[in-house]
Amino acid sequence: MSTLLEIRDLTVGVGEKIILRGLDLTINAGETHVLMGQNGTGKSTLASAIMGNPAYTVRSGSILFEGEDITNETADKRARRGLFLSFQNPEEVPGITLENFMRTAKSAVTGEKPRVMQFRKDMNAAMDKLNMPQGYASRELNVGFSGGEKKKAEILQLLLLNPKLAILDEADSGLDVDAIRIVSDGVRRYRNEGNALLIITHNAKLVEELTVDYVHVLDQKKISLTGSAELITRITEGGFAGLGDNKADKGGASASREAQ
Amino acid sequence: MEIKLKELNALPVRTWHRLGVNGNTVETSADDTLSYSVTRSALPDIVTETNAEELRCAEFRTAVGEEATEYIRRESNAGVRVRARRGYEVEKPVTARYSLRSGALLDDNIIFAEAGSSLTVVLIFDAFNGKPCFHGGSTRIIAENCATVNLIQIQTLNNASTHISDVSAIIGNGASVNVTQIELGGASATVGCHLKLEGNTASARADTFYFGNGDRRLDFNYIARHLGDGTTSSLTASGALFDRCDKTYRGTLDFIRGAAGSKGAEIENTLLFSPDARNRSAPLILCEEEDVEGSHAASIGKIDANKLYYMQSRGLSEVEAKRLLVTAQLETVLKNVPGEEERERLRDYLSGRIKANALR
Repeated sequence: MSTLLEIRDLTVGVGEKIILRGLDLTINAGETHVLMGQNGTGKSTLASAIMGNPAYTVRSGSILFEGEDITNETADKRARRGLFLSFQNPEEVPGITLENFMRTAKSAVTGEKPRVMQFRKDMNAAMDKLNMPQGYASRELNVGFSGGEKKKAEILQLLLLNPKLAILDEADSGLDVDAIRIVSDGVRRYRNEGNALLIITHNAKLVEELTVDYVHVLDQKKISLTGSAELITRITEGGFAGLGDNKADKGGASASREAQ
Repeated sequence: MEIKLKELNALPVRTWHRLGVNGNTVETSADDTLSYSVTRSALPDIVTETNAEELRCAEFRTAVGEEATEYIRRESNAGVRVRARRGYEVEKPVTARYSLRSGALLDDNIIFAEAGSSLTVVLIFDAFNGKPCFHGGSTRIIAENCATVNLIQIQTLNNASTHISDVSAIIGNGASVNVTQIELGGASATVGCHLKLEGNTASARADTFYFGNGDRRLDFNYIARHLGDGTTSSLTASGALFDRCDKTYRGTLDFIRGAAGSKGAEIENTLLFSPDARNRSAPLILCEEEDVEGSHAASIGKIDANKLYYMQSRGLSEVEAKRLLVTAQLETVLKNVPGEEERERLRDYLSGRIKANALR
């Protein structure tokens, strides 16, 4: 099993404020990880740091992707290596159609210009699976999209770009029950033995159709607890407070192995 | 020949001189001999030639200024003068493409849409070589009741040329005039548009895209004058400034007493790519009438960091993302340009102009 992502002793801040301190995490190909935690514990910060958001500064530690240090790489280089982030609040970009943007992105990550007809065919097929009317392809990127439509457009990008590691930052927030099912189905279609997922969520619904390998709880600026899928049920039923002292005992990648 | 034109693009209400937005002066020279080629589309049967005599009762106002428009009309050596017959919708656009070699091209254009007709006119100004040329244009539009006029002006002159364009429209009851101006070239471009919404429920749009790099000087003056009841106007200007480009935009919504229920909106989106580029904006809303809505929105500055990061997270390099964002601005006005061939030419032209080093 090859290691895709390895985070070692990572400390991340915004300005003077430290949000993550000494965090470790390892994700191998073929694994699905779920990251949970109370609001404001730094889950989105971790996603941003992995993707290379310049608003966040890595103070120390390192991020390795397929064994290579990407800590100081820009987001586009990371994307071309096979990293993908589904944004919690995707940006609206007037003037660029979803199709045009996707074709440009596909060309950027693969290094080859996709053939127009084949790309359109693939895109239409993916949109059908996500129950998205094909008219969305010619709409301006995320402009005037509802919250749910934006989330579907993110999953559409996931399916078309087919990254090695996808991070989904609250891909289910703002979605109704049916839309969660569609998004969950889309995520399931993406997953295979060669790629991996890191899902940030508060909602068990999104992951109940997926085989979850590890669940991590983020607290006190680091991963305080790692367990199996059963941890989601415990958190859903008893909240984070119900986890008690376990949080203090286990942490990081090594803990993942023990939990399994 | 020496050309000096003063008090161009005057702000309807003058402000402090030190702000530098009250008006503009153009001083340039061009060869005495005019050399150019023109390609014009054949006029459909339902469109006839017209002349200035037919406009004698119309009271046009100018945005660029009396001195310049009088000069252009007096010395005019070209022009499209068309009249669409009552009730006919002219599907095929009337197009004139000028390619300048040298000298001063002065085109006096008249677009007359009789009641209930609709007409699209495309004027393209290009240059063959790097020789400094002068283009001065005056376009007068009459849209009678319930008529529609679409005017598309495209300017891709060379970097040594000077361009002046004045558009003045009188819009009748239920009529609409839509002006699209794409300003990509020239050392200096002075563009003005006066939209007189005379009839009730008349509507007007002015959509502009500009690209400024090097030492280019761009000067815009848009005026929507609301006279009739329930009139609507929309003035939108988008573009990108690089290097030491100097741009001034004036946008005026003028609601005259009696224009009850009228609405006007002006929007400006300017992307700044250089600390040495200079952008000046003078939005103005004048109200004599109480029952009106006028709005102004502006976004002027560097590319939004979050948008850039979002695009980079999909694999686009910073340069590619910026290029796509500038192209996206062009795409919003290309929707108004008839003909895929011309749209493709403009995409290629802009792409050629956006050099990677200009985006860093």
